[in-house]
Order: sequence, then structure tokens, then C-alpha cells
Amino acid sequence: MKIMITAQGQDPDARVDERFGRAEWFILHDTETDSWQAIANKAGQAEHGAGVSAAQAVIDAGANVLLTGHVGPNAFTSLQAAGVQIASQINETVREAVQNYLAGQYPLVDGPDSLPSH
Amino acid sequence: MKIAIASGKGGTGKTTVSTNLAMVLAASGRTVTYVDTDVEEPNGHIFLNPTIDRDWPATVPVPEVDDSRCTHAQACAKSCRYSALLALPDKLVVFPQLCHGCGACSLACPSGALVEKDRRLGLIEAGKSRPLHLAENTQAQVQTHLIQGRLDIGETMAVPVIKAALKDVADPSQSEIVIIDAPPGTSCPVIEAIRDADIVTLVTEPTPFGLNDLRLAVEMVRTLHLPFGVVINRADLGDRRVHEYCDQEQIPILAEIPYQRALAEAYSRGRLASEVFVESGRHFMTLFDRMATMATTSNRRSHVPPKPDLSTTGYDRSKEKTPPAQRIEKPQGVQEVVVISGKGGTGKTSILSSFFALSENKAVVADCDVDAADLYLVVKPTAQDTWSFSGGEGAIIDEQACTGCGLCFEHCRFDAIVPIDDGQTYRVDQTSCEGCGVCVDVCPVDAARLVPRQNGQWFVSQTRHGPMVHARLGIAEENSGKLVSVVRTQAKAMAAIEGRSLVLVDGPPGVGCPVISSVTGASFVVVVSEPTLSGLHDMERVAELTDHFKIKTGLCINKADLNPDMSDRLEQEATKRGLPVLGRIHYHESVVKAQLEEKTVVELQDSPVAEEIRAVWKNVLAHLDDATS
Repeated sequence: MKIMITAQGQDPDARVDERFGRAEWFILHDTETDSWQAIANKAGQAEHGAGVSAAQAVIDAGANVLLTGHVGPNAFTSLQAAGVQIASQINETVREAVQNYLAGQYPLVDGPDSLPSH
Repeated sequence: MKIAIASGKGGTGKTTVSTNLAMVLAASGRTVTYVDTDVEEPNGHIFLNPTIDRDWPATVPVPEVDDSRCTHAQACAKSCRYSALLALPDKLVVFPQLCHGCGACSLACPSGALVEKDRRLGLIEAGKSRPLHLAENTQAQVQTHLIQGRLDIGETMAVPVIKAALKDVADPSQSEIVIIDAPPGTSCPVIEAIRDADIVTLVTEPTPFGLNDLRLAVEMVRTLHLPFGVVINRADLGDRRVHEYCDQEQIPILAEIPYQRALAEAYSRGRLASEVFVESGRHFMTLFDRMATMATTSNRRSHVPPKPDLSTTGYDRSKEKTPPAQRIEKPQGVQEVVVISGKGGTGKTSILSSFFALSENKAVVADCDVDAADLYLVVKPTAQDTWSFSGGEGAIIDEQACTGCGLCFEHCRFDAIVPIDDGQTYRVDQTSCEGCGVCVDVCPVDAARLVPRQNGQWFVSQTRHGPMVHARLGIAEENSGKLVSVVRTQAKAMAAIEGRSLVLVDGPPGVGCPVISSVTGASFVVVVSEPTLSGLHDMERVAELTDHFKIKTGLCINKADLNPDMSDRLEQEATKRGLPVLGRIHYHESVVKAQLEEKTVVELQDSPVAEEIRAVWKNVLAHLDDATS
């Protein structure tokens, strides 16, 4: 399974970035190989539609799950269409977030919890 | 002749000047069309009370997918610079709200699977004003043609609505005189409204706020090479600094309108000055004569964009120092109070700055009116940290490589490509370019490319009441919504860093993109309105907006004694909508005096309105406590 986490830095001990579309970094964790890969979020500086653009990056990276702070409606629609599961309202380090998620401690969200950036 | 009436600051009297001009010119036997391009808060109809005989939607073309033809090549999503398309291996998702209608996706689709459909952004209405009797000749009935655009609540893109309104008056044979009532500010909607005018009149008032915003407006009309003059409204209030500035800059002062309470009262009831006062009508006629002379004698150059700097790689973000928001983990327990008004000039900034002074150094203030930032004039920030703001891209064309084929010119839907030397080469007009990249996509010789634009700056400063985050959007730039978000985010971060519990936001006028960016997610919104028909109309529109986004909102009535009946009506309307009334503030000259002395109103000795502002602030705090409990 591949888990994408929004992060304020490039390593697993960075905190989860509460923003999705405008997050500083994405960290992709592959549970099978136990690898961590930092990906710069190009959408962060986008003028418009950062949520959709970031969602496209998550989907293109082949992630099954997204762990983040807040997801807006456009991002939510995008991720849902691609079948990516989402857990939000997370405020730990990236590593802790993954452990907690794997321990089943995060409920999956069924709707957006913030407003769109336009 | 096309006459545009504009101003950097809202509430200076654009609509007063526009509607009176339209009427006195109609009374002189000319055919006149009044066009209201302040599509976020159109107010001309309040005075002209038109009978509408046609209306049509202002739209933007948005792609729809024909699933039977889509081969999932994903070329459309790659071509879209607005992320309005999401390409999945087996599905294409369209986000119509993000689409600018540039057509890049349809051009990119290899299988013709995208069909463009019109999506409504607003409504254009056309008709005739009510038949008026001007004071000059009460026997004669006068009428003008009227066109007005209105942006739908919740929509962000004003420019296509303005374009649609102006398109209908493109034919000069229809009307001898076209009066364009522009939106406030200096960003792209204003540029769209005034760019084809023969002459621009900038309306201002002789206060520090008026002067500050006039400077910005002057920079804007100079960028567009338009002939212009200034009208000073409420000319006897305030001081002489606007006059001195105009002298220095050799800007003609076309008219000065003294403040008369009777005029303000007539205005509050939706009556025109020229209906009530004979002299008013004559003054507006004199104003027209001066403008007409300027328009015919000035050598209006057509706007040719400057040659691009080809060596540029655009704005480089990597050189920035770390802004406050990246130094903290998460701003927690910070509440945000946003002051907006819909209509400009209702006293937002005077009230917000007083709140800041009353917050006893527990707040951070954010000036989100990035088009016309005035707050700094009364809180006097020092020790400024500056960051650049880059919010989008613009195209540039290498004129050496360009073969003059004209494909970019043909495909650009924003009229941003300008032929040079009869089409031997082409240049991009950055004031029109929306960064869609269609020119880059169609250019057969790769002469066009997109570069990041620097569209403004933002600052973190210190003031006597606490930190301040503010910004300045470049002239003619769009994306003020994103700059507004930056200012709010940084202000919240500053609050968290300094252990302050409150962010006070001075919002922009209108109901469009920058306003939506200012209010979303706020703890409480204070709508500052005034007891005029325009104030009422605009209060209803902003209340609809905050209701749309489900944000707790209250009403504060400023200059309440100008028309007590109208103040009652404002209260009734607010109550009907479930908005608590936070208080009434009287009209008093000490508000202008405070500006002149670079103070907030509550810091003035003996201002009778200071107590009223304190009472409103107390109510705001009570509602904030409710919001948290």
C-alpha cells in the first residue's frame, strides 16, 4: 500500500502540513518496501485550483491513501473519483500519522472539511 | 465618446458623478448610455430606476466531455493551467468553477471529445432609466439608456461580466455618449472597464485615504496611456494635499464638489443631485465640457505593450527568506474578525482601525484590501519586512523567433495578443493576459512561453497597537484573492508566534474573489453599512455571500443619522436575515479629522463617535465568545 502524507518538511519526522493543496511537501510511504520519498508540491504556488492539481499529483504517484489536515471540496471530489481514501484533521509527525493510520486510529472522511481555494 | 468614471477608493462618488453626468447630457439632447460595470455591487439602478427590457446571461465557455469520443489521452488536463480538469485513467472530471474558458483543452484534445457549453457567471440587463425631471428644467422629461452587469453571488470572475456589459455598447452609432461607471480599485476588473475609454475621470476626496488611492489610480491610467482628470468630491472636507498632488503631477482638476448634507440626504434616498439642485446640473455640464475638450485635444496613444525582457525566467521564489507562516507549526486558538461592507467608502477602515486600537495589544491586524490598502495611514507601521508575491504566469513572445503567423492572435480569447508592425510580429499585453498558455500551445515555432509574474508585495510591520500584515497588489494585476489568502495566513501565523488571540481583517469592497478569500473560514464578519439605498443594496449582497459560506455575521450602521429611516430599514433587513445589529455610529467630522492626524478615531480626544465604536466592539467580542463556547 502507498500512503501519501502532506508534510511541512522533507523527512518522516516533519509535521503533517494541515493544508492539502498548498502543502509544502508530500511524502510518499510504501508499506511494502518501507520506503519514504519526498515530493515537492508544485501545486502549492499555483494561482488557481491547487486542490485539484495536488490531487492529480497524489493520483499520479499511485497513492491509495492520503493523510492530511484539511481537504477542500475540489480536492475531495478528485480523490474520491480516483478511489483514494482520505483521513484528515491530522496534526502529528508524518511517521506518527502513518503508524496511527495503520493501527486503524483515523476515521476515513466522507466529505470535504474546508472551503475551496479558487 | 466614451467616458469612464473610476476611483482607487470606493465610496468617493463614482456613481453620483456617472449618473448625474448621464442625465444632464441626456437633458442636453444627446443620446446617452450609462453602463454600470461595478458588477460586484452595481448601484446606478438605485438612482436611475430603470425599466429593463432585455436581459441575457454573462457566461464563460466551459468544456463538457463526450464520453463516447474520449480516448483518455489526458492531453486536455495537461494543457489546462487552471487545474479545471482532472484526468484519471478511465475518467475525466471537469471543475467548471475553476475554468476560465480559454479553450486550451479543446485545442489539445486529439479526438474532439470536448464540447464547450456556456456557464453563467452573472446577468446583463438593458433598458431605460425612469423619466426624470432635472431641477434646471422641471418641465422636460429626461431619459438615458442603461446597461448593467451583475455578478452572481459566490462567483469570483468579474471580468467576463464586465466584458459582456461593454460589448453591447461597442457600436458608437447607437449612443453619442457612453458613461462607464467603473468598479473601485486598480486591479483587472477596473482595467477591463476603462481600457477603451476616450477619457477617464478619477473621483477622489481630499483625505489621506483619498490621496493614497488616487496615486494608485493615476499610476493605473498612466500605464494604459489614457487621458484623465480628477474630480474632488466633498472638496471642502479634509485638507489640501490632493490639490497639491494634482498640481505637482500636472493633473487637471476637472471639478470640485463641495460637501452638502442636503446632497448626502438626497443620495441616501436614491435622488440625483441634478434633480434637486439647479447648480448641480450646471456643474456636471461644465465637467463634461472640460472632459470633452480633453478627450478631443489629447493625443490618445493606442496602448502598445512594452517589449518583453526575453532573458527573464520570471519571479524566483527560492530566494525568499522564510515567512512567518512557515516558522510555526499550526496557529491554534486564533480567532479572526473580518470587516467588510460591499459598498466602498462606508467607513470600514476607520472602524476596523479603532477595533485594533481597542484590542489592547492582543491582536494582529491584516489589511486585505490589497487593491487600495489604506489602513497603514492611520496605524503608521514601522520596521517593515518585505516579501514578493507571485500569483500566476504571463506569456511572453520572442519577437526574433516569431514568424508572424498570427495563430496566437487568433486563438487568444482574452485579446491579450497585440499585432506589431501590421502583424509582422506579435506582443503580449500583460494587462489582459490570463496566463492560459493557449499562445504557447499553438505557436508552431516555440516563440511563446509562460513566465511567473511578480504581482505584488506583502509586508510584516510593527505598529503601536501590535503587528500588521499588509500588501500591495501591482497595478492591473489579478489574483488579489491569492494575495488576500497570503496576508490572512501570515497574520494568523504572526498571532500564534506572538501569543496573540485575535486577527482583525480589513476586507476589500465588493462580493467577488478577494472578498470571498477574505471571509472564508472567519470566526465573525462585521458588515459596515451606511443608511443609503446603495448601502442597503450592498449590505444585502454581502449578507447573501456570508450566508452562502455559512459565516457568522453582524451589522454595524455607520453615519446612521444621515437618514434614520433608512437606518431602521437596514436594521429590519438585517434582522430578517438573522444578522445581529451590533450598533449605530453617527456621522461626525472627527472621523476625517482622525485620518488627517494619522490616528484611529478612538484615539482622538473628544470624538463623540468613539463611545459608539467602543459599544460596537464590545458586541463583537460578545459574539466571538458565543462562537467559541
